[in-house]
Amino acid sequence: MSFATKTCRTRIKLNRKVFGYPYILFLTIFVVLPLVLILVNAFIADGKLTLHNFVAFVQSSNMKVLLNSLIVGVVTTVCCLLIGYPVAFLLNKYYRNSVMVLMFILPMWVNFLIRTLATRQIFEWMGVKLGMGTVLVGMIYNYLPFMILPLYNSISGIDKSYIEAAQDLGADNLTVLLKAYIPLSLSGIISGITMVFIPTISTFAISELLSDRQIYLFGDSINDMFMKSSSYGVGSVMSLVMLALVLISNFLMNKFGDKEEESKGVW
Amino acid sequence: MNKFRIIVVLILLALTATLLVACASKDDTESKGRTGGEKLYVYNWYDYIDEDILDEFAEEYGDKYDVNLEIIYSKYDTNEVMLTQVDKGGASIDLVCPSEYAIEKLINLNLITNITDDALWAQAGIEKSDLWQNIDPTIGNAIDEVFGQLNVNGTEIDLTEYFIPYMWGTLGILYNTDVVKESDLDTGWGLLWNAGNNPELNGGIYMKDSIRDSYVAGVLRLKELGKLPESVKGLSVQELINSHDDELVAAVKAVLLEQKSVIKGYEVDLDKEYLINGTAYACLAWSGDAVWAIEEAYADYNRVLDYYIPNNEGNVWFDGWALLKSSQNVRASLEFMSFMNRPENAIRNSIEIGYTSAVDGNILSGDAQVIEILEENEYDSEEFFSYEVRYPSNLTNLGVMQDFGSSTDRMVAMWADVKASGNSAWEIALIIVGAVALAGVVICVIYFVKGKGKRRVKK
Repeated sequence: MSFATKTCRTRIKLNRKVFGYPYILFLTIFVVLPLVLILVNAFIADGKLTLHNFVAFVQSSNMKVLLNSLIVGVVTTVCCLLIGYPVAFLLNKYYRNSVMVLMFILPMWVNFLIRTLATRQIFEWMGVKLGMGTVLVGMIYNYLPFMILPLYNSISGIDKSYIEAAQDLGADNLTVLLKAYIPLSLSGIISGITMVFIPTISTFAISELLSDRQIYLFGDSINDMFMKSSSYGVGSVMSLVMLALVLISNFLMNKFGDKEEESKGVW
Repeated sequence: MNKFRIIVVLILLALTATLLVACASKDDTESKGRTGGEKLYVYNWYDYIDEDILDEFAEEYGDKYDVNLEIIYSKYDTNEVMLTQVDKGGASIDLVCPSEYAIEKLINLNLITNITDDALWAQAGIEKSDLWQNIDPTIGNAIDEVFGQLNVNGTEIDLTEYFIPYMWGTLGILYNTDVVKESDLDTGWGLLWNAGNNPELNGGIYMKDSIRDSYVAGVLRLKELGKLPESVKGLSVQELINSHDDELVAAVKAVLLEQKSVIKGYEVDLDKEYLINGTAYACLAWSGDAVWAIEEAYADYNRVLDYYIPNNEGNVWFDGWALLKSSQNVRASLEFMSFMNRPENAIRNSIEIGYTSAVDGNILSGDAQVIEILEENEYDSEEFFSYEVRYPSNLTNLGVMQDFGSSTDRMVAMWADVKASGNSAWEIALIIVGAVALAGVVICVIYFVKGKGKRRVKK
C-alpha cells in the first residue's frame, strides 16, 4: 500500500467514532465543565483559596440533614427491592414480554411532578397527615419502576436450564430462589439499587411536596444553598459530597458486580 | 426482550416528536411590519401582576417607538431567591420588584441604578418625569424615616431615588372563621402556635418558608409572652424585627422549633390556596394575599376567611420596581415603571392580585376611570378604599424591615436549622429493619421445617 492512500484515509476517516464527537462535545460543555465549576467553587470563599467551606459544612446542621437523607435513601431502596423483586419475578414468570410490562413503565411517562402532586391530593383526601411516612411512600412509588426494570431484565436473561438443573438436583422452590435466581440476577439487583439510591438522596421536589416542606433532605438543603442563601461555596461542597457518595456506591457496586456477567440492562 | 427494545424506541420517538412539535409552535407573534425588536426582562413575585397589562404595555410601547417589544416575564417567591439570582445568577434582567430591605441590599451590592439621574433619562432618550408623583406620600415618609441616613461606602443615599413603589401591605394572620375561635384570636401571634389549644387547629397551620417573615412572627411571639432576652427588652417593634442580637436569634429559633409540632408545614404561595379549599385553617400571610384569598374563598366555597394583625404589632412592607445597572433596555424599563403606576393600571393590578397599590388612595378614588373599573368588577368604591385589610389605618406599631447585612447568612442558617430539626427517619427505618428481620426469621423457620419434612419423606 502506498503512502498517498494512507494519508487520504486518515483525512476522511468516516468511521463509527465520528458519530461520537457531538456527544463528546456536549459532555464536555454540560457535564465536565459544571463539575469543574463545582470543584472550583468548593475551594473558594471570599475570593480566596481556602478550606473554609468544608469547615462551614461540617459545622452546620447539614451533617444531620445528610444522615437523615441517607436513612431515607436506604429505606426507600430496601423497600423498592422488597417490592420490586417479587414483581419482576412474577412478571417474568407469567407476563413475559406482554403488555403488563408496559403497565409498569407507564407511570414514568407522566411528569413526575404531576404524579407527586396527584399523590399529595390522594393523601389529603384520605386524611393522611403529611410527613416522613408520606415522603417515603412517594419516593418508593416514584422510584419503583427504576428498580423493577433492571430486575426484570436480568431475571429474564437467566438461562432456564440452570433453574431446571437445580430442580432436578432436588432443590425446593426456596432453595432455587436463594441459590439460583438471586445470585444469577445479582447484576440487576445492583443496577436497581444504584438507580434508586442515588436519586433518592438528592431529590428535593418529592420531600417538599409530600411533607409541606417539613421534611428537609440533602437535596432541599443544596437547593436552598444555591437559590436562597447564595452560599455557592458550601453548596458546592455539598454537591461534592453527593458526588463522592455516587462514586463510592458505584465502586462498591462494581466490586460486587464484577464476579457476575456484565449487566444486560438497558440502563 | 425484543418487545422491550421496541417500547424503548417508541418512547424515544414520542419524546423527539413532542420536542419537535414544541419547537415548531414557538414564535408566532405578529410583527405588524415594524422594523426593530426590543426585549424587556421583568423579574417579579409570583401572583403579583395582571398579566394582560404586560401585553398592553408592549402594545403601547411598540406603537410609541415603532418597535416590537417582547416582555420576558419570570417569577420568584422570596426576596432571597431574587437576590441570589440577580447577584450571582448572571441572568439578564432589567427590572425587579423587591421589598424595601432587599432594595437596600441591592444598593449595597451596587446592582441598581439611581432612577432620578438626569443622565440616565438622557441616555434613554425620553423626557424625565417624576415617577413618584402618584405615589402615596406616607410611603415616601415611612421610607425616609427608616432609611433616611443610609450610608453606602461613605456616601449618603436616599432609598427613594432607587425604586418606585408598586404595592404595599402588612404581615398578619389569615384564618378560617369557622375553626378559629375568639379565644384563639386572643392569644395574638400565639394563634400560629395554637396557644389556645384548639384541637381542630392542630396540624392545620402553615408558616411562611421565608426567614424574614417567620422571624417577625417569632420575635413578636416572644414579645407577647414576655420572653424577650434582656438585651433587647424595651426596643420598639421596628428595632426588634431588625435586630440580629445573638440571644434574640437563639430565642426565636427555640420558639420556632416549638412551633413545629402544631404546624402542617412551610409554604410561600400555596398556603392561601389550602385555606381557600379548607385543608388548613390559619397561616402567616401578606395582606394582599389575604384579601385575594378572602374573596376567592367566599366566592368559590362560601367559606369565610379573615385577616388580622395581632395586637396591631407587626410588619409593614413596600415593594417597588428597581432598575438593574446591567439593564440593556433602560427606555422600556422607565416607561414600564410609569405605566404601572397610572391609576387605571394600578387599580387593575390591585383588583387582580389583592394587594394595595402604592398609588395614593385619594388619587385613585378621585379618578373616574378607576371608579368605572371598580364598578365593572362589582366593587363598591367606598368600601374598597375603606377596607381595613387593604388600607390599614394604624401603622404606628408596624415595623419596616431593614437588611440584616453581614448577619444574613447566620439568619438563613438558623432558618435551615429550624426546618431540618425534628423529622428523622430513624423510627421508620427501625420499623422496616424489624419487619425485614421478622420476615427473615419466618422464611428461615419455613425452610428449616420443610427441609426436615423432606428428609423424613426420603427415609
